[in-house]
Amino acid sequence: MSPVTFGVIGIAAVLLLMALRMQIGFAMAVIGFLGFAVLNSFPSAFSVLGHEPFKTAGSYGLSVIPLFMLMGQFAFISRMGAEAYKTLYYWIGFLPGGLAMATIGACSFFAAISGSSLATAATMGMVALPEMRKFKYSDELATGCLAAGGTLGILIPPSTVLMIYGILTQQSIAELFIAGFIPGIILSLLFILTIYITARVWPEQGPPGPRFTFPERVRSLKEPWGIFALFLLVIGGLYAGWFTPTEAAAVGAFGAFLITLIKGRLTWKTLVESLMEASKATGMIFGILIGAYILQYFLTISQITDHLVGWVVGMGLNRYIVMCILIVIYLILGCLMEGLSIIILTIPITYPLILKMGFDPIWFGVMITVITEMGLITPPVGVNVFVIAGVAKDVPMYRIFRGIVPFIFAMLVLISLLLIFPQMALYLPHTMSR
Amino acid sequence: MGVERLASRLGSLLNPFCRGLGYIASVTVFALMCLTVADILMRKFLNQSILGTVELTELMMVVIVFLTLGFSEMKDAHIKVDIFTSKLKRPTQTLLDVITQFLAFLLFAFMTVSVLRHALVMQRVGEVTQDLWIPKYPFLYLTALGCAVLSIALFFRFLEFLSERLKP
Repeated sequence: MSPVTFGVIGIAAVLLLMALRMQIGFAMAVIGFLGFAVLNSFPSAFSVLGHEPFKTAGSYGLSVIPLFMLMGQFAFISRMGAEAYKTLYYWIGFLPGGLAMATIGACSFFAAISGSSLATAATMGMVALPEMRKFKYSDELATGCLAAGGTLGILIPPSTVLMIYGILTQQSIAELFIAGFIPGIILSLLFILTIYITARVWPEQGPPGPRFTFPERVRSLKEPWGIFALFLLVIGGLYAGWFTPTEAAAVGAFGAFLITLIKGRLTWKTLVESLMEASKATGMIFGILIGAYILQYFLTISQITDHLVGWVVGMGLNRYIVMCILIVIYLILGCLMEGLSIIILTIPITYPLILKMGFDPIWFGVMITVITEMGLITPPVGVNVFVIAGVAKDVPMYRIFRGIVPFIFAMLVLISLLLIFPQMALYLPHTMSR
Repeated sequence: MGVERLASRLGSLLNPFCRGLGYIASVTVFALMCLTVADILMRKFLNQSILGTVELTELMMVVIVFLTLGFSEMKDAHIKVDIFTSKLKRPTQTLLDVITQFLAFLLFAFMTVSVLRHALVMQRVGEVTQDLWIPKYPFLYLTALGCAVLSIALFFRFLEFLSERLKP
């Protein structure tokens, strides 16, 4: 049997083990080990097991992971997201659908200090849902905008998915973060437009909220200072080239820590909880990363990636057709699996392909981030939907999914825009100081 | 019955132990943040970096990652896809879990042994870090400890599913 055939069988075996509910990272490690043992030798596979974990964990570049996780945790307990919501509520709450628009806005602000979609959805769910209920918003619009808004967490920098993509492809995390910024803002605007149209066509879905006087509005502006300060420092610092990603993450975590402290929201209990949560998430991510690196040994020696790339290129298809096929595959995967795992599992195979076809790696990172974002809210495994369902306990799941449909269209619009105008993602990184 | 008791006893030992390791990792995460910020401040204001920041960061990462692997497993935080098995009958699900968890346990048991071997070599060779001359082998022993704890945690999962499966 040729190595390539082995590679195909290996990939099928990984997928099978994952489908049988094995931990994703461990499935990759088991097959990577066995495959390398068969194609090379047992002693060398055994030696990979001894070297690889230490090498993967003890890497300076990867220290960005626990630090950004910690920043997100502190941002979560600082309640800065709630404050952003309050400000926007004062300014645009009176518009038709205004409370839902304020929710999207606040999600974008919170996303600017947190890299996690779940945290964004959970934070905003607790704050914005009761308000929208009070003003008789339909369940569909209220829960739909929350689940969709939550996905902004991974597109607007910092972003867990872009960070992992950068690590796997050895692309600059700083450039990837900066590249996600404009598409993130455009997606927020598309979401807001979606709400506007919905509230215009069906006014009963999103009735206007209360109106505030101008002085009251101006006063509300002082609340979200923490978010602006942190975002400017962290993402601005990355853009200006002051910090490496690890340093930016540490500064962000420390800043969020100080803000939480100043706002009087840091207790011993929340501090310990934040640290433990950041540690747990780090263990989880490295559980997958170590597996992915071990699998990589097997994939490399099987030469399956080279063959796949050669095969696709040999078909002589237009590269945009290949990209569209990839997008469809990722959309399907997004329905079945969680975003981070999709990226870690597929990048070793698809990344060489897109490089060969002449696509920009930074652009592709943003593209698959948007696609995996969609996966967060599409049935049957829309993780964000489960989070919102946890907050809005009396709303049946199918109504949340129904509320999400218009937002999925907004995301498809963004994907098309990105395909047509790659500059949307690439303009800012090109202007960065290096 | 024997399996069930063994599982529960192992669980009652593992949970506090993994939590303890999680606490140490948490303190290390906080220390890593402080070290990095201090390094930046020193560089900006005193024009001098802290010697060995990079290698300290790398060693701290080893501590963080390997002390949390088992902790994350005990919290069931390692990502799984359950959409395909959720439609199966419960006994079939448990049988599959018994098999996959045993496989995972075996792998990490292997890994523990292999890392230990690597650690022994490093101890004999006496490899140290570049700037601060910190010996590397203690961190390899820690890696082995982390892998061992994870493999025991996976064995615990295996026992749990097995005891459920064996129930009449």
